[in-house]
Amino acid sequence: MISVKNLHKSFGHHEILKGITNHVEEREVVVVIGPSGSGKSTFLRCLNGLESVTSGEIEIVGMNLTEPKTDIHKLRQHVGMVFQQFNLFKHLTILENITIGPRKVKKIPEAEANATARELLAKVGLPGKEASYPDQLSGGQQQRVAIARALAMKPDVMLFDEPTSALDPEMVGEVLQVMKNLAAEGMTMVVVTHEMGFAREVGHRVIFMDGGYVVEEGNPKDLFSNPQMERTKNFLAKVL
Amino acid sequence: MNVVWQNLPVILGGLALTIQYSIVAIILMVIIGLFAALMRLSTFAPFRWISSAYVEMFRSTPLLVQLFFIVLGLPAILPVNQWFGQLMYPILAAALTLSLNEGAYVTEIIRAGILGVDRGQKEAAMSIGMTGFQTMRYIVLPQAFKRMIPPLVNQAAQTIKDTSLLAPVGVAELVYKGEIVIAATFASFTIWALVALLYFIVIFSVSKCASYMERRLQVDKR
Repeated sequence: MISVKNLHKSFGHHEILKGITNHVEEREVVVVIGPSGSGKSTFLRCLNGLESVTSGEIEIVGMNLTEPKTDIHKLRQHVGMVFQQFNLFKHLTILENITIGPRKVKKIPEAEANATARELLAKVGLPGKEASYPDQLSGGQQQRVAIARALAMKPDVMLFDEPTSALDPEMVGEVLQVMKNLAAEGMTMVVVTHEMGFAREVGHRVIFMDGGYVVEEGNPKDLFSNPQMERTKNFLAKVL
Repeated sequence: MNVVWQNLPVILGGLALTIQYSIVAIILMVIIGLFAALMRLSTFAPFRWISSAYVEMFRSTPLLVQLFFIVLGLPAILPVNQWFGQLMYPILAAALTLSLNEGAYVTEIIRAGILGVDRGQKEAAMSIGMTGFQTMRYIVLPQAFKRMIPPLVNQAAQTIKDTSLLAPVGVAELVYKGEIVIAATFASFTIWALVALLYFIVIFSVSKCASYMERRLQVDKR
């Protein structure tokens, strides 16, 4: 589903990603952990072209992202993304937030888009919030709407960029629950997070990044209980 | 008071022209400003250069000089009067020069409005597959527009006042008609007071309408 080869990314002279190679299978849930500044968010943002790639190759949902002729807008329709700050469209209602992509990008008729949006709202546990504006919702509710907005495009992969980091602690659970359900349905997911409990419970594979490299990866049970690398041990000792 | 009543039709004729030039200039300045702002923010460098050159040129010279140069100066070297007609050219040139001048300020207002929209909004729009144009049209501009209303109203008021500078290049607007009436009646205090009052009424109503509109937008957007 995702294939990354020798990915490098620099901002000016500062190299953030120093050669990442990785593959994500269909229906796999990959959790990326690591200290801040390790490049994990940049890595995720490269996967849908929000950051341009300095060198290397990315293939995702059957398209070559690093090939200049690729229609990046088409590609992004198949790659959903959820942001740390939710980024709901402030001037649109919850229903419009979810339908604007299907309607304007995929040209789906309004009635059909609305019906799908209502189903998705029910699915993320927010029925009846159609007419509200983002500012009227709590952080946890906004993030669930953001997940529904991404799902409305019927993506093949979902990318999560620290989806619970901006939330009050009591709201983290409701967002993680929605993500768990999604994983259980077989969605392919790449999740950058500090939620080690989620990584352990839901992740099929955990990637530990530091200093622009993948330091260690493996199934969550092994990686958390028996890390091989010194840096992984240090990091886990601090966060677990 | 008699002098006011007797000359009111002439003065109001000038006011009508002031309002007509204002409406044209306000519409054009927003269109010009929008295009120039989008060019200024373009990734295509020549667009940015053209836009910057335009803004700097019109911001860094006085409007009165621009009007003299384009309305009265250009016909001296180009047969513009033949192209557009002896009577049409000054009208078109005056309206266009005023619009271009105000448009330079509107460019900066719109540019600042667009840049003021949170980056995350744009990224979210891109992440659902919107093109740059769709992102601008459906996400960025509607949010930017709301915060652009107060400075745009300010600029509209400025534009209405700036139409008074059309008098020296021969447009028979409010100030021009005022001068004519004063030349005939010597009632300079009364007539200038009347002219000022008429400007005040027009501009005050515009800004009242605008703040009503702004409140309306505020209500349904929270």
